[in-house]
Amino acid sequence: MDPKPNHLLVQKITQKLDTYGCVRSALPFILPLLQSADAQDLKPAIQFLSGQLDIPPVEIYSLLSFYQTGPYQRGTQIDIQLCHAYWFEKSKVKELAQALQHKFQIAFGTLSGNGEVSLNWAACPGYPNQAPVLLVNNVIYTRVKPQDLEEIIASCGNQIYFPNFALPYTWIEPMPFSGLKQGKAINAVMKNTPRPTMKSEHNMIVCNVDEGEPLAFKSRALLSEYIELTLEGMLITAYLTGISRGVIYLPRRYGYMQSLLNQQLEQFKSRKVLGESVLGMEDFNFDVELLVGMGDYIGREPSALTAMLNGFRPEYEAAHSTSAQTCLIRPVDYYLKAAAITADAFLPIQDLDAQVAQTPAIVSVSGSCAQSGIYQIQDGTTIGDLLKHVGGEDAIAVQVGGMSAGLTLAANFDRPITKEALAQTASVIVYGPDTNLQEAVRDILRYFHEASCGQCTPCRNGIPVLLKSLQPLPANKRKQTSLSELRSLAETIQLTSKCSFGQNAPNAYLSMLDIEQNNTASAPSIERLRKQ
Amino acid sequence: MNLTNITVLDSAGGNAQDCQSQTLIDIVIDNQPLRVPRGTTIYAAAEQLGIFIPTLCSHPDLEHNSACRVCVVEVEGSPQLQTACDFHISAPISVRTNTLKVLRARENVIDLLFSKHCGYWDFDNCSRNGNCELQALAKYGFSPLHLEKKENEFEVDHSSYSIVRDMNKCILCRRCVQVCQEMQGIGCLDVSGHGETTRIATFMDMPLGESVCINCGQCVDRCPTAALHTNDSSDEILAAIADPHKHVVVQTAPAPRAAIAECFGMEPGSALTFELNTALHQVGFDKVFDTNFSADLTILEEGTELLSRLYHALALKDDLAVFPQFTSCSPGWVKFLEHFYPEYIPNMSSAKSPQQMFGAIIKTHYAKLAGIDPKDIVTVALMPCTAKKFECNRPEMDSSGFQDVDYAMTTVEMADLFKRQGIDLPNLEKSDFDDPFGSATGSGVIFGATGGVMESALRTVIELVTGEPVENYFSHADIQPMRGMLGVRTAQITLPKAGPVPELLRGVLPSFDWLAGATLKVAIAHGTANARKVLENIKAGGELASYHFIEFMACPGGCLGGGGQPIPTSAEIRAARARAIYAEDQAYTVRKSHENPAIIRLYNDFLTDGPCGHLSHNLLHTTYTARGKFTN
Repeated sequence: MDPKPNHLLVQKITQKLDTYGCVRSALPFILPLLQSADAQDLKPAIQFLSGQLDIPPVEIYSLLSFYQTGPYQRGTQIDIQLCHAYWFEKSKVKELAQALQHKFQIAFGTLSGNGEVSLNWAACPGYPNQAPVLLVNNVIYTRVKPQDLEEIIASCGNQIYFPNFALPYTWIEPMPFSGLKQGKAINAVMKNTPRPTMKSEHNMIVCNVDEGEPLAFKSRALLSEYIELTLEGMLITAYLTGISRGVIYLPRRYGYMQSLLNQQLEQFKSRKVLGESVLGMEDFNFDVELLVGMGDYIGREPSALTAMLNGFRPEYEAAHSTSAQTCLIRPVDYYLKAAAITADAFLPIQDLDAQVAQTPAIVSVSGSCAQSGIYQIQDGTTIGDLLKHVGGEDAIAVQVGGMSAGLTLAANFDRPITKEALAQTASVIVYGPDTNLQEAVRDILRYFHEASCGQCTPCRNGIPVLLKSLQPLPANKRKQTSLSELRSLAETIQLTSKCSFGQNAPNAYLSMLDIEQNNTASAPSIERLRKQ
Repeated sequence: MNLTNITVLDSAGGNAQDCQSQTLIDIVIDNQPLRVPRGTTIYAAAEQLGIFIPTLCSHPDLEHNSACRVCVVEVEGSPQLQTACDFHISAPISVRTNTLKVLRARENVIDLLFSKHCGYWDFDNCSRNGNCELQALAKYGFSPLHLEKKENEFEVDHSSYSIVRDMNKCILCRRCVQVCQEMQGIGCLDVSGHGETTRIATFMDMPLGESVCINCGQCVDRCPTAALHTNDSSDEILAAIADPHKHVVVQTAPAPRAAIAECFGMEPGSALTFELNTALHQVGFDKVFDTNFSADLTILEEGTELLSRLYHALALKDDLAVFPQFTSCSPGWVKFLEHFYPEYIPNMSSAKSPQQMFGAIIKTHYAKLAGIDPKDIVTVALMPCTAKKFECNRPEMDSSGFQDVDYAMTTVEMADLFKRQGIDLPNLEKSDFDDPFGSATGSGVIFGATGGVMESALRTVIELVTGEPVENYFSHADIQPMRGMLGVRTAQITLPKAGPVPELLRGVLPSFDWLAGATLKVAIAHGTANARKVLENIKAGGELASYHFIEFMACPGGCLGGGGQPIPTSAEIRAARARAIYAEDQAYTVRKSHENPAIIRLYNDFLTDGPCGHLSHNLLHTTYTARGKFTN
């Protein structure tokens, strides 16, 4: 006999269905309810939902399982999450992890005996170079030292109370929009450009805050610094396209920003800058809501994000052609640039996309550098120029385009940074002279391994093989796959994966193989590592 | 006779063809020029040139999902390799299918697939050995990467009577998900998890036997490996044959006879009906009967039921009869209705399927005739169908006092059994079916194709009601509008006159006068996705709600496309099997169920109170169970 549905849960689901309609695209807003549901309530709840939406329950189950990362236990009083660190900052994090375990006498992924305290690992919250980063009841603390723990726990996630330790802070270079007065841009647009008469091919504006991969943090930093201007940019896009619905897609690792963003949205709504008849214009309706994502793959691949927003599995081109929602997906800086462009324009805005495309790229810089932060890359800027700017002159290599890019070695630092290289991920990662390359590449592959959607063979089954080759073999195991075979496999993943995620996943690995081949004497070789 | 064909529902019969237009495009494949219509896939274009590109996840019945990446080729100007199966040519391109880059990549991809296919080194123990699509790829790239061999990780799911799920062998081509969702409209299977932990799962990972699976076995037919295979009971059957106290009889359905030749390398569409009889005797079955006999019996029972429903509606004008009447011989369809449309159970004909009718007759009438204690009789059914395994185990199927049918075997299982025993089926002598049910009719044969039940029923109903041979209305008694592969077909037939009630039916109906000039509205649907369309139309009070009789078959093409039929399958193969079935129908002298002498004898000697009489009600009719929408 099936257990009875939990009435409270069903009520909550019904509320969402009332808001978003009894359609499949309501699913992304309902799934969080299912994710936090008790195990015994899950089955009846899915069955109820399946009946309401008239889709097979297994499809909802499939969606839910896509995001499953294991049961998450949250303490009733204090929920502590320590953010995973990458190779250049691991030791400090290890020290804090030990201190935390010692303090609460519990292991990661568990609850304290009385259920009050929970300790978990968290994905990169967008503050690299400030490790160790701690999330206490969703309030972020950076550069935490073991001796700070007492105070932090005492503050119990109280945002106001910041005692002696560092504030979360990201260096952001002055940008054209940084001095912009709020409301200037939208007023300029409304003065110069008439409303569109044609209906847009899209019916939703999406502000994608997902960077696509860890160690990139541009969108996070810009959004927390310029929330109001971002919303203004979205409003401008809505004005120019006639689309009336907007969504800010926040990846799960930025979930802690949720309450702050919701406050902002409420303010905008109460000021009638969002909602119906925006800014007093009768035919201008635009509402924005927040959607906290559930996986890593989604935000990077627009077709996966579209599938997800339509209630399908967030896989490459998984949305069925009959999908109700077609989305105009743009990153945060697009909207900021849109505001900057329109504020100074005296002419009707024709093609916003083309104009934004002409502006300099904005990147986040992380890794072994003194001044990690958000920078604008002017045309012709070389890697060397940037490194000088961020205090990373002694770097041995960089990744232009984030984790999915190959390594550019010091000999090539005179190359300019192109927009194309940053198109996928606007991130530059700096490798200092004491980098352990294997460790770095292992961290990178670990991310690709966890985030892969699992649809196509090379990415699903190939990346684990590459990752394994970087882990020491147990003594009794013989090595199976030779170095040249691994290279061949990595190239196959590049050549045959369906989407750019898999195609770029082995780039760093291949760079590492190249470096080791040319430089077997200095760097510890992968062969040697495997023999350990 | 006034017969009209009306299109009520938009429904494709087979599958969406790859869209092609008339614009021609010049392309080059491996230095050979070719002109193809815009929209042609690289795979199809290469095929025209005689260039074979290995594929795995693409299937002629399904949309391409290009998940496996086996069919990659090099398209000039594109840095990534492209999948030939779903690359639709829209501009002049130059393609290379055999560069080192392509061969390496293909090898590696195939090796990655093998690395997740547990136990591939133990292929002798696999039910798909020799007919495994992954095995067939081994020659293109077996273990170039020396990857670790993966040991079994999942428990094999034996919970279903029909289908065994062995996820250790699954390589995630997703065909089963597609066929279950798109082609059959069930939604029992879907992909779960992500990344390396991706799996195929049922709702809440429940065992298949507890799920909404209707046992149609279409997923088994589409599975490239043995991750989904049928629940084979040949060991139990062989044990029964070896037991001297057991009298083991087998009945063979028309669809396996039209297809089993494919398992022996023959062209689709070669019927081996009478060679099969010899082979079954060689295996050791004591008697070989023809399921067509009970198909004819079904027509009489189901046809009588229809006439008496019509009598209530047209003559008595009471509300006792529910319309349209649905056929009930496809067990996949029956379970589909029980799960998803239980409110329509009253529409279901109460007549059992031919398999179950035969089982009940064998363990009662035949047992008495042969003087054998029914507890010592083991009845086996050779079926094209995986759902028949579930059907014979339904608890209510024991009207003989025993389990009416003990085992159902699929075409493929029987072919494997023959091969194990060294029986060279295609080259055997022909032999006839055994008495007392020996002769059958063409009507029983066409049960194997979609529309066949309807055609057989109409042959009998028209003739019984009008009192004139059906040939007077349809040449050669071929009711062509019932045939074909369109997903939903409809027809309206006006009965021009009514004759006297034949003796057989006098116990049921006093006269046929009320039927003179009546228009019989009939429809045919095959594949449960099409069945769903019909039921939704009825539910919405659409055109089909006013119909009288609708034939439903769970599988595309009817029984000939069943889940237990030889693998592979495609629209062409199913069409060839249908041709074989209709050709066999032509070869019979008796082609109408009510003229089957064995049937007439049965009603004279055993079922003496006639069709739908008391005894037949007990033995040949059944009831249905409303099931949940979510679990069995």
